Amino acid sequence: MDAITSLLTLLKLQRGDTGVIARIDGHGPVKQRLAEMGFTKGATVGLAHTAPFGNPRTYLVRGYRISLRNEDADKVILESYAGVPGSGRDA
Amino acid sequence: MDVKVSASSITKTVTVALLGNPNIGKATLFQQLSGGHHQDVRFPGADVRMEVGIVHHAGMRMRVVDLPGIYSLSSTTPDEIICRDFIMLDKPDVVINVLDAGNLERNLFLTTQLIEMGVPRVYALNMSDEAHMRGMRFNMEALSMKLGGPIIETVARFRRGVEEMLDAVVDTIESARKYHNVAIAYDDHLEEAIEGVQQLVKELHPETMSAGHARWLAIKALEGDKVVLRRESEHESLVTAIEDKCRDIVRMHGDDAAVLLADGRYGYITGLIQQTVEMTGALRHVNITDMVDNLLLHRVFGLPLFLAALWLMFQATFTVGQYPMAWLDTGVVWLGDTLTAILPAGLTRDLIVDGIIGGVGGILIFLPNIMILFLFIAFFETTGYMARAAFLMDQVMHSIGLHGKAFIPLIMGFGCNVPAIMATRAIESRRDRLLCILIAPFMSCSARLPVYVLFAGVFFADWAGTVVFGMHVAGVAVALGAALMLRTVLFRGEGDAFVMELPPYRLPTIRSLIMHMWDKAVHFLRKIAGVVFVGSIIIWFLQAFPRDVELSRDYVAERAAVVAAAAAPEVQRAALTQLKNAEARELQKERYLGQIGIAVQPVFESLGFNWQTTISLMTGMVAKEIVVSTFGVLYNVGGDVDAGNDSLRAALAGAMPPLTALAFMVFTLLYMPCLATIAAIRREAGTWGWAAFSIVLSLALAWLMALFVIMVGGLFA
Repeated sequence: MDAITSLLTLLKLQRGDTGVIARIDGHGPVKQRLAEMGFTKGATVGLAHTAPFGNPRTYLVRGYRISLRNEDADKVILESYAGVPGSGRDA
Repeated sequence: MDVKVSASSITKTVTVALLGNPNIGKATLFQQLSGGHHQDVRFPGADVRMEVGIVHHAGMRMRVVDLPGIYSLSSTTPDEIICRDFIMLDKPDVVINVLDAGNLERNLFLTTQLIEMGVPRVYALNMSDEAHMRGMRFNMEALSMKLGGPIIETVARFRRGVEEMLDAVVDTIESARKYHNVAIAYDDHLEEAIEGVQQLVKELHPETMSAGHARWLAIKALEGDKVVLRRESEHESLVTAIEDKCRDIVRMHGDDAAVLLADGRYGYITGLIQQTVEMTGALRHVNITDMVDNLLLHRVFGLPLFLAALWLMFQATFTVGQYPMAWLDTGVVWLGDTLTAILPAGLTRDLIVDGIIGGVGGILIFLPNIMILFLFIAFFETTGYMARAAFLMDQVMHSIGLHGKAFIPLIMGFGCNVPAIMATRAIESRRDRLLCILIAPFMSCSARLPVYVLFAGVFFADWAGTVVFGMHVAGVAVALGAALMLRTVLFRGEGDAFVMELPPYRLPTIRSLIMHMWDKAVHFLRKIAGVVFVGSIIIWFLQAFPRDVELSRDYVAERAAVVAAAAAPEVQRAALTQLKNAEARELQKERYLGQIGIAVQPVFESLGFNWQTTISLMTGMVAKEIVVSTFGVLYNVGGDVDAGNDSLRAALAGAMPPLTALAFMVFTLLYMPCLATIAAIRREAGTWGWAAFSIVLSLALAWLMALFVIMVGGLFA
């Protein structure tokens, strides 16, 4: 893998978008917990809801809803990304 | 043996554990199995008390243990450690793994770890009705083969499939069939690592060990659970060797072994689901949870709706609760009056009427309020709204250094602080957990409710519901303030991540709500029967003795003089009542309880508390329910102040100004946790030091905040 030019993370997802996980950055308990909850390589994730102050957010992964804080979501790197047409995102 | 027992009458007792993720109907299944009757049993291995229900099925007596809901057996949270230790050390005969049929993928993660433990298992594919509605079809035979145990479709809330599940448990135990020879295969590199560690384990272990057990130990070690290894052998060299191996893996793959194992497990699960679960039609059905979330998690309306729900809860507790409360009150008064009429005058009658009925009855009448409060909490919890509340509040919680998950125990604290403190087990990091344990007692539990209901009713009758709500808000504010303070002084540094499931919304059955409420009611009544009963008797004794005291006036002679004066009847009655109350007040001061109160009262001088109030606070240290019963005992001594149910209210109204009453409510809210809570803090925090810290912290905050109320209130007076 060459140097990361622009990191595409969970945090970039807009409502209705989905992405496929490439890897999780960092080490330690948070990473293990995320992996155990289904955030593993190849899993598809979508954004469901954003809390009143923009943090945390709720994601859809492996058919259930889970909420993560933005600082943790930012460690989940996506390999591909599919936006919803007309979601107002300039891709 | 002296007694001959026929073979048929011998029932075999077996232990069955319920294991599964949170929010999948495991508690409902336990309720169905135990029929609502359960006892707390301490298990030596896991060293915790767990709820056990007894089930008789096909000649077998089963002790069903409800294990805490967990997502993983990696031993990173206290609950996970409890489950691991229970399965490993207390060795249940069968583990029933409860699965949410509609969310198999994540549910099976725990299953893959359970399979590796090599214990006999039965699977309950629960909520299968929901999954069927979504068009899912399960190949049960294939699932059973792949998971290494019988699997039964169940719908716990309607008791569907429960008998078949129990049949499968009996069958598994009796046939002792080897169901557990399933191996989850990982990728080559990981397999190599596992085999390497497995080899080390076998070599260094003194006794012979089965390959399966060695493999499990190797996987646990790679997952980072060193406790299991240390328990199995004393070889420090083994642990070091494994740590080296883990470092190798990280170097080779650029990832933790635990993460690679999770990848492998999900890979296995994905394959398994492809082979066993079929999606037929109805894929794009209307998703109710999404629709409800669009409203309840709305970025603008979400928080106001949540606050409105809380306000509604307290308003209902007060307004709806006051009707059954009045009936109970009438009953208690009637009982007191009847016994007064039947029993001969004397100490025994005083003990029963003033001590026991006054004390226990004074609390019993609050049972409806408490049940309504618990009904709301049960509703929020079982519908899935509680997790949404944590989601909505996380940013606020995080800004003061708390974990969003701490919000759930704090809300549960409105019911009772003891389960709230136990619920902190869901928080992973010890520091975050300790912080939550320390601030949980500031959440106004239902035992404090009677004080507010009484005082708000007497002093702020027009907005009693709002005052009660306000007291709870004040509790939250102090808890958050204390968290901020502790975070900056004691617990510095980064907190835990916030990783929380939002379960689908589900409507609980009326039955399960009622059972939940009934459970709490029984708990409350037991407390009354024990702590409050004994407390009331002690308080009564302290205020009834010593018997012979010297009074400043000759009340007997004065009474005679009033009678002799032969004034108008109402004038005479008023004069007599006044005399009687004056005598009672003087007597109270001379009794032991009065002496104690007068001795301690100077501490509360600046708060304006009189000695009766002081005594109530002191007795409330046992359990806050006793505060009101102490008032009941203390102010009823004079009798006839205003015969019947309003006597205490009338007495209180004259005893202090509203501002003092408010300060008293604040003090009651915050001052030291009750004995049961102190015991819970000690158990969950691990040392008496933290329990003592909690007592000192709460007393200091209570005193300061009450003073604050008096001073600020004084500005407006």
